[in-house]
Amino acid sequence: MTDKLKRITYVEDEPDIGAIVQLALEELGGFTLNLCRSGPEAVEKAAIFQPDLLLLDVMMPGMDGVQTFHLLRALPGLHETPVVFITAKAQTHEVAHYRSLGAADVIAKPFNPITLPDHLRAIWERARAEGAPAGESAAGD
Amino acid sequence: MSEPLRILIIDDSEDDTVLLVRHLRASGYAPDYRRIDTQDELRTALSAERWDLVICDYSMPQLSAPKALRIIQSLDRDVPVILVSGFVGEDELIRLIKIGAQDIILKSNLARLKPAIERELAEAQLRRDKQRAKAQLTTAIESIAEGIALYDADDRLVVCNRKYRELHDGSGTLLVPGVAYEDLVRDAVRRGSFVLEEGEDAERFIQQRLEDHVNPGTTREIRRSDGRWLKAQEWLTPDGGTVCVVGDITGRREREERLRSQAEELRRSNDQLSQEVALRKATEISLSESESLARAIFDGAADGLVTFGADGVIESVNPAAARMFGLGPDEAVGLPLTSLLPEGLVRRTVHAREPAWQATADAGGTPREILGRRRDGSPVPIEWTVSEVARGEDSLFAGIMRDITERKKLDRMKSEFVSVVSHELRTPLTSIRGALGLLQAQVTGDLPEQARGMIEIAHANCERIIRLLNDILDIEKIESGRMHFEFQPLAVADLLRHSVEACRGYADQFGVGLRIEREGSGLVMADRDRFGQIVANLLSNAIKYSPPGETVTIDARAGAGSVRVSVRDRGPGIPAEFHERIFEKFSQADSSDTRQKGGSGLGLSIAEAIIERHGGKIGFHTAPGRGTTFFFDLPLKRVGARTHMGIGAPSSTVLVCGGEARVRDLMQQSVVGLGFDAVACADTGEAEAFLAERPVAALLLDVALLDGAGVAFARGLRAAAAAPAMPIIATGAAAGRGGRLRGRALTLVDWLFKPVDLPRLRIGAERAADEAGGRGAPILCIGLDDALRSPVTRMVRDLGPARFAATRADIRAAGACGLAIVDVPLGGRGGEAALAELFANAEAGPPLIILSEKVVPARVAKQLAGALRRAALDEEAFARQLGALLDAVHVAADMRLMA
Repeated sequence: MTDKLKRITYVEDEPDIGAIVQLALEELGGFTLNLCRSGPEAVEKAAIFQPDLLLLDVMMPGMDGVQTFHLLRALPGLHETPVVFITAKAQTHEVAHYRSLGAADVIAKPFNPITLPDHLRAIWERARAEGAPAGESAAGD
Repeated sequence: MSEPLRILIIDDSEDDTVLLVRHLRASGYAPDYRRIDTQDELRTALSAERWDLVICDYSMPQLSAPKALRIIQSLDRDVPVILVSGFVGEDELIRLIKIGAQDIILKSNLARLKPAIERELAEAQLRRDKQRAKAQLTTAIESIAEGIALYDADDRLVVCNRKYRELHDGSGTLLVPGVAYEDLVRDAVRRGSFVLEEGEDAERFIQQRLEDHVNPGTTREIRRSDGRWLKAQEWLTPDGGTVCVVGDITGRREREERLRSQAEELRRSNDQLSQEVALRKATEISLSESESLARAIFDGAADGLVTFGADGVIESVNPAAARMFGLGPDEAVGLPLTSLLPEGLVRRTVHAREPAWQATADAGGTPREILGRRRDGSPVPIEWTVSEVARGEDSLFAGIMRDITERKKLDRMKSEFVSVVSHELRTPLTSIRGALGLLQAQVTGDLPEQARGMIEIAHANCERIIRLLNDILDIEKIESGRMHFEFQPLAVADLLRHSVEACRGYADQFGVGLRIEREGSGLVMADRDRFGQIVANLLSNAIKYSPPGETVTIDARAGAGSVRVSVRDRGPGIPAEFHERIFEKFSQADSSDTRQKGGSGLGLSIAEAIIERHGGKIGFHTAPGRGTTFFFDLPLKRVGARTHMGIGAPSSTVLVCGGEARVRDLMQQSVVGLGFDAVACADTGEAEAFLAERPVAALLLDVALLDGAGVAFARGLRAAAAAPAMPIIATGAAAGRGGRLRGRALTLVDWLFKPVDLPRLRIGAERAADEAGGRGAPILCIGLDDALRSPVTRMVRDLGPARFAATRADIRAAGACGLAIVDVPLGGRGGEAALAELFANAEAGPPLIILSEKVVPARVAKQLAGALRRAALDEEAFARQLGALLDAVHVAADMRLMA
């Protein structure tokens, strides 16, 4: 891990949202983004990309975000990489469920792209400080 | 043959007598005579013997004729007296006849003697005959049972028999021959012997009686004022007299009266019987009608109906219920209800009579959704309503079951639809919002002014759709019961500050200020996020409707057992016609408002639902043109004694009251060691002062204080509505070596004076049962006098079986119990030992309700202290016991709040 959040792997099947997040994270946040269109694509690329943070959509055709999460976590170098779910399914009990899986946090859709880079940075720093992938934070924007 | 004639001759001359006798013999008599010539001889002769005739010489030296006549008259001997005289003057003759001489014969004319004797004898005979006849008549009238009287033509009494006198005993001495009938009647009327009719004139009555008396013919029945009834019949005699026959017919009249009243009674009961028969017939008809009707409803109802007894055994099910559970028509009868419905529900319904449940039954049954079990084991969702019907001593329960499988399915489909649609909408919205957000932030480069304006509009409306979506999802969750709440005790002030801060940005956008007037105090059981949502919804309304530059004020104020949070704006107010609909979904005062103000029209509806789930209520005041105040009340978490406005933190303070200073200090340390804060007070006065300022979690009261003032204090705390649940724990402790405490404690549920207030006893018993975690544990009644046993048993029947004990052995035999009701003092050291036995049963001992006379608490306190000393626990066990007692009550209080 580095001192600062730089590299993010983002899995999103919806191209529009993908484009917006990409613009926000690259242009506003100055991150290096590895945008994947599906779970399998992420599994293929992430081990090579070695992100500082994994940002996962949940509802995706085929392999969903949770399955993708488990597979990514199994990859070398990604055991402890903080994972954030970004999803429309963000009711209280769903958030609790993702957290119990080991997610650092959950961001509810629709989210605010302007504040997204700072939000991710905060989550990442907290997760790193705790030295563990789990964390407590208010969901959403 | 000459006639025998007994003659008494009064003559001093022997010779004259011989001459006389010779003459009598010559006249054909055979006289058997005796001559006397003194008064004494005369008296003796007349008294001792019967004489046919007395012949008396006129002049004698020792006894004159008049003297002799007077003696004869005075002795009342009906014997004729003939005087024989030499010469008698005419005057003397008349005088002699007047005093009883029948005849006077001159000695010179003895020839007249014979006819005179004959005449006198005949007359005497006649007189005797008459006498006999009269005696016979008298005997006759005296022997008859009726009263008989004869009145002469002048209406004066001639004769009457004893019975007649008896019947007219009031007339007394008046009733003698010669008395006028009128005098008798007047006397009787004067004495009030007769019962006159209402308003009847006495004189008229008398006249009528007199007239009747001389014109007899009718039979009269007369009511005497002494209650007797007389029947009088009268006849005229040929000489114008009146014969009266009077009979006492009281007996007959009474019999008649009885008969009459019996007949009347008979007639009345007959009437009544007829009416009852008629009524019963009518009832039978209507009963059979309503029975048929009930049967038809029972059989034909689409809902399932089941009746079951207090034992939880099914007595009947209708066809719909049988179908619901996949049972044959009579298959369910006799089965336990638990074979169809959840066990806990049945237990609560028929055994524990869970109060809330009871209340719904009483209120006509609020349905509950439960899961039943079909015969094949598959679940069936049911809407269940139960009502209780008294059946003699027992209860019958009637349950109505509606199969809500279909409704559940539809509900689920609707939920899923709303959920899916909302989520599906979120995806494109995420893109739109994201894109607009980035454009607005000019991440993609500078935009012309006009374009920026357009993008702002698009962005704002996008935000609005998102809020609408969120609200729709919330409403759906509320309606389907899937909204989750995480209740925890939270300080009102803290919640309010956070919720208001979260809205400050929104208020800034509208140029509206936010000000918290009072933060409030106390704890509420709340879900932090949902509480925030309530405040946000109320604030966003207030902000939207406030003119720019105005301030919205927030205020929280604790009242009795609840806190009121108010949000006040200076907006236009809510039109009256809209008041009723204000909490309805998609309602806004003006439909154009929705667009103008950017609300979903769901905010208040959601706030209301969330507040209700918190056990609160929402309301509002509004004045057109002057603003609106929305407020909601939430119940304050009860943490101790009197709720005080100034507390913001949960009370974990235990008040240690009384005892020696050293023991008090040690107790305080012990309590702190158990994780509580502890405050020590020397006496009840100090404790009272402390409680007025702050609530406490529990009160540890040294048992020695339970004389007069201490008991009054404990009773007062129990009776105070605000602090019904604060545990009062009586302690008896002594400092052991090494500064540790030995002792015993007991939970004092309540202290009642005699005569026992049974409803208050019931409240205490209920609390004890609830704090013990359930009902059904035996309630041990120690030393209760007989008169209290049955009312107490009845009062606590559904809380647990009452067991009675008087001695130490009884208590030991009774075993563990959930509550002890002790009538103290129990008398002597035996009673103390019995109490000690009660506490020795288990480490924590049962909670106690004490009954005592008002005047003996000092003795009682002594006995309790003695019992606690006897059963004292060692240092460790005592600390454990205190911990258990304090924990138990704490947990129970929380459970109540959650319920």
